Amino acid sequence: MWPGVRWSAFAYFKRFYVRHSSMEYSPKSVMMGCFYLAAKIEEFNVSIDDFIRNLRSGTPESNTETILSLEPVIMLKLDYHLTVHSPFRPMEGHLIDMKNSDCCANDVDLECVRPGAEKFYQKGLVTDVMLLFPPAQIALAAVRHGLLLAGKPATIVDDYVHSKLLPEDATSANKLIARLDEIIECVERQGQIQPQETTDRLQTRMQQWNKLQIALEQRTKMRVSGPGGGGLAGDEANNSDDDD
Amino acid sequence: MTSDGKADKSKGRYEKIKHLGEGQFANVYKAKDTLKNEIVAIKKIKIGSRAEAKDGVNRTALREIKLLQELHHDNIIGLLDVIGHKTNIQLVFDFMETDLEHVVKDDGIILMPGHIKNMTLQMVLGLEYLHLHWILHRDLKPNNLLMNDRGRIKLADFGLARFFGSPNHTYTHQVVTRWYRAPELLLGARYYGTGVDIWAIGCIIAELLLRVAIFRGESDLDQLVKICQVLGTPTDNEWPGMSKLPDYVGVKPMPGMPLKHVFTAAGDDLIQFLASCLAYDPMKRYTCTEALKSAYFIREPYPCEDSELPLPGKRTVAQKRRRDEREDRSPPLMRKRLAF
Repeated sequence: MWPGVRWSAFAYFKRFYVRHSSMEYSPKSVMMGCFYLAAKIEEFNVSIDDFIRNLRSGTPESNTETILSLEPVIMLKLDYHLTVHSPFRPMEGHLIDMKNSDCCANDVDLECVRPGAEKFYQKGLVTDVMLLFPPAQIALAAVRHGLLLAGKPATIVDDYVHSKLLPEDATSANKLIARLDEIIECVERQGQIQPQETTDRLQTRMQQWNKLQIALEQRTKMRVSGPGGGGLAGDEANNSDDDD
Repeated sequence: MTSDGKADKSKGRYEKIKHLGEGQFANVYKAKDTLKNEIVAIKKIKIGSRAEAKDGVNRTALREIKLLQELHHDNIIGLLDVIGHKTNIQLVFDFMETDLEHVVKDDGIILMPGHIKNMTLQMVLGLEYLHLHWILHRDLKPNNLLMNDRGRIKLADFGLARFFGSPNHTYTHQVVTRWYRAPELLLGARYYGTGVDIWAIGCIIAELLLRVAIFRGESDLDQLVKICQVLGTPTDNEWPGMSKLPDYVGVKPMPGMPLKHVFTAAGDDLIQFLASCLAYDPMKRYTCTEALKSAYFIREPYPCEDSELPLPGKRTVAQKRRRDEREDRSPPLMRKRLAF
């Protein structure tokens, strides 16, 4: 799966929840749906059968049903704006352009930015960066970040930006460079991978909630069919307290 | 929230007028937009049952939605609205009166050099916009070039279109209706570019001149032969790299014929224009921008006004008279040639 598919899927996911709460639509189902739609839109051809084979939870039938029934819903919630401009193409453009301009010191092979840039995008997926900044600037920030990680001077990007703009536009160039720092900062701050214990804790909590929901449903059913039940009240109280 | 509000508003907005046709995955209706008081075309995409649409929403429809939402140009069909329902998706387009296939096939229409120049100009302007935005149409043919009642031509049917220029993605060569398919596609190229659309434009202009498709191959191989019969078999010199294409087959050497003899009525500028669209080597073919700067568009006769373009069944009086005069004097084929 090429990186553009993942980027689009996350963009869909974020845009979807701009309008909806995770209480209305299950994030897990929506994520699956977003990935499937993104794969189709980005021309990464995979049939529904192959797609669900890679899913670890749920039965093939229920997953297929969830994904296909969500597909039109996701499209609607995105107002049918399905093209996502990811930073991957702009980055290729920047690199080609930088290689061809003489501002770049000859002893630096720009290909060295790729591993760092890749990490940057990976981190960036979970942040708001794709909602806040244009893709070409994210790409340039990735190049800058990649240079730093490779132990090369990030000033190569600064010089490049200055060389592209007229000397009179030095202020805009500096603004753009400041913007790149902002982007990197945003990715670094929000893209923190949660430590294992935090995710574990969240997982457990999630499971508790799931159990609780089932229990609640059962109890509702019992209420409807007649008085009784309510044996789980203690558990519930504990969980609700946790939530605050 | 907003999207729900919009769906409600658009509920009674469009009034169906009549059913225009049924496609592979859609029904097309003529309808009235009561809000703007305009006539529109609505393409109703069948989502279908799970058994019919196994992989969900049709890919062709998705391509159209994703690309047309981004494209805004006078020579590209406008996607005005998308309406989502539970069971189907409806695309609202500009309403177009006819398409170039109908124009070409209508014997009542005589295409003057000014008409052809206007049509070519409109096609190339629309295509230039696409190519500058890194999109290949991949299915250009007279049938997909629509014309409205004001003579504005728009590129339509983006079901095969896609972004291009990512060097690591390969593309299928099974695109473009055979008669308009470029030689590199016939030889199985998996990497190609704007040249495939330009070739199709060349074929379409040829068709406007000849009033019949120029290369009418009956199979992919026959298509190649038909091309070589007119343009001559390409040499390695003429098209370096040709023999390295995946499905390369050598066609027996044929001399071809001078384009001047094929298009007896076309001026030198137009011949040169056609030759640049129909160059074997995709690298030597025109880009849209080069095409727009060619002598053909600079010299007289200038393109006619859009309003002067003939519509099937709605000929201008002057044209009708000219046609009536010629009617009995010359056989039909000659008449077409004489018209230029």
